[in-house]
Amino acid sequence: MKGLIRNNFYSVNSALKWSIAVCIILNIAVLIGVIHFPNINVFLPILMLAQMGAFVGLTGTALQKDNTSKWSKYERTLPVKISDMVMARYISFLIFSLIGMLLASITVVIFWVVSAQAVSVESVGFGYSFGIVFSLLVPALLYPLVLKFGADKSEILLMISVVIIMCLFAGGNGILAPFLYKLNNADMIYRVACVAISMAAFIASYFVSLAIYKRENNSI
Amino acid sequence: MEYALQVENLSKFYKNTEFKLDHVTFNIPKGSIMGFVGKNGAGKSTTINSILNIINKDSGEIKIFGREMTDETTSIREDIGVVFDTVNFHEELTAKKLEKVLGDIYSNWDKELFFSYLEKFKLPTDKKIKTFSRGMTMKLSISVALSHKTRLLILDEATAGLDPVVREEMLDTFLEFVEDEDNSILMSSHISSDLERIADYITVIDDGKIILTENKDTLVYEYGIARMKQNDFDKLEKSEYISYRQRGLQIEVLISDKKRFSKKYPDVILDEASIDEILPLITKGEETR
Amino acid sequence: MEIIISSNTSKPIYEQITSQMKAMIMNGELKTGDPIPSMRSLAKTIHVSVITVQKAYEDLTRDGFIETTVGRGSFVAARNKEFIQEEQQKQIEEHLMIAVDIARTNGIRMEKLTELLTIFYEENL
Repeated sequence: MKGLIRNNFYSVNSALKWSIAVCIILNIAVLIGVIHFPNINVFLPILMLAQMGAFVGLTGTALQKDNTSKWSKYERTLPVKISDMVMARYISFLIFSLIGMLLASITVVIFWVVSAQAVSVESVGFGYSFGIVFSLLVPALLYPLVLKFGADKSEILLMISVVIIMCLFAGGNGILAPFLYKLNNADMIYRVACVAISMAAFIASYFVSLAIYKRENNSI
Repeated sequence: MEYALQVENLSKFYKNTEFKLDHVTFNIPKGSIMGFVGKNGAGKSTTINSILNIINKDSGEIKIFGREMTDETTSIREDIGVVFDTVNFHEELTAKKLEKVLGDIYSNWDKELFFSYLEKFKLPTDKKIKTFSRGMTMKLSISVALSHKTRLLILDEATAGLDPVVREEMLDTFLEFVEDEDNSILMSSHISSDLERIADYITVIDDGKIILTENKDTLVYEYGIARMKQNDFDKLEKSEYISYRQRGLQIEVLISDKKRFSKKYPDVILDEASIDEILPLITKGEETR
Repeated sequence: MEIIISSNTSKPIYEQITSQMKAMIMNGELKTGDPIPSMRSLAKTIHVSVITVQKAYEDLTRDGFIETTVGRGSFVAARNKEFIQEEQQKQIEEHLMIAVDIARTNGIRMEKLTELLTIFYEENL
């Protein structure tokens, strides 16, 4: 499986390096200009989400490349099981997300250390939770969709997935607000719950993908 | 007789189309090269995909080295090398990176052998695959296929679109591969001259059915095409020919034993049968067997 | 050992192999006991299918020109004079059949044929 994961990374080599480079440049720009930011607690989540989002996009790129190169067909001739192939992809998605989170954390540290203003836990919490939910749920939704409808449609499916997740997150907040306001740290609880649900959905998605993959075995 | 591949009554139905594989049956004796021919859409790739378990079959038995392959039996896939007609690796990778990927996947990966093939085929190790020409990607695919103690090489139109010089190099590589009598090849191809040169057996498929599977030399030297008028054709017994077709004012008839036929009908024009001439006769002709 | 294959003649490749090898054995180029390449390596060397070389080797073995032992390979078989003569006679018969065929098709009489045969034979003495 190590080889498969390695391949998943090599396949998006250029895009990966670009994304990392842009994020680093972004962080350098923040470092230089942080003192000029009027309200860091508005910008911080935005910057965090932008970086984590970039790596979510990378997921879509990776899936599209599988299609154009017909690697997914060739892969079937290798001495690996379908479960390993699917698992390798999920691990790759996870690693992409972690890289995004790491880079976003650099931004947090910069703001925290360098800025004169106090960084609110609120904004950091929002940034991380929304970012993690996004990073986990989009691939969790996207990959099964791609398996079902074809990797040639991966761009559209990526957009659809993003929109659905955003609606869910915002909508969920709206629906549950009346029930949660009584609790202390309602937002925090909501966010932790979302993260937990996302992790569960991510894991569940693996099994769904595996099932779809095996069933779609008839048409190549 | 040991077989590298046994396909028995392989059938597959596609619900939305007429197309199906209909009891496809043929075997590849160990150490031999099987040429697999048929026109486009005849079922060559579907058969190969079924053999590789890339698509599910509806019925029949497929045995590779005497064992049935499932998703679980990865050990069989260790010994199979596959080359499809399109480039199968991500174009971002270089040959070196590809080597690292495959070295982790195949238990019997032979790094030195792989690099020696790269050198033999003059392939760059550090250039991205997207810069490769078609001939180069094919050579790369074949280098990969031969570098993990492969015992069965499956080539699906692998030499299509290659210039004659590269093709000849590939054919020699295939002959080199079967110098070891434990190694076998299944190659589907439109390029009949390639098969007439190096194949030991020829299997012809049309419309999802196997028309014939035969020793190559028997096909080339003992089969023949007789050309005659309608009256003469009507005098023939059904058992005396394999198939026929009407072509203008004459009837072309496929005979499996030139010598016997010409002794019986010395005045009939009887030509040699190359694969290219046999195919249209079988596929457009009337099936009599 | 050099075998030249022509894909342009109508003579089957396995026959080309057998006749060339028989010639080499009969004119002494290959002597009794000399090793000959394995089927597969010869196939690779002359760029033809293994099954073709296999048929050639089978024919050569059947006609007593080569023998193959498992594990040791193929060698030129020990031959006695009678056997050689028999093979040479076979070749003469083949050539004569062609000459007769031409003669008959073109209405050339047997007396003419015999005359020609005598001329050619005595010429070389």
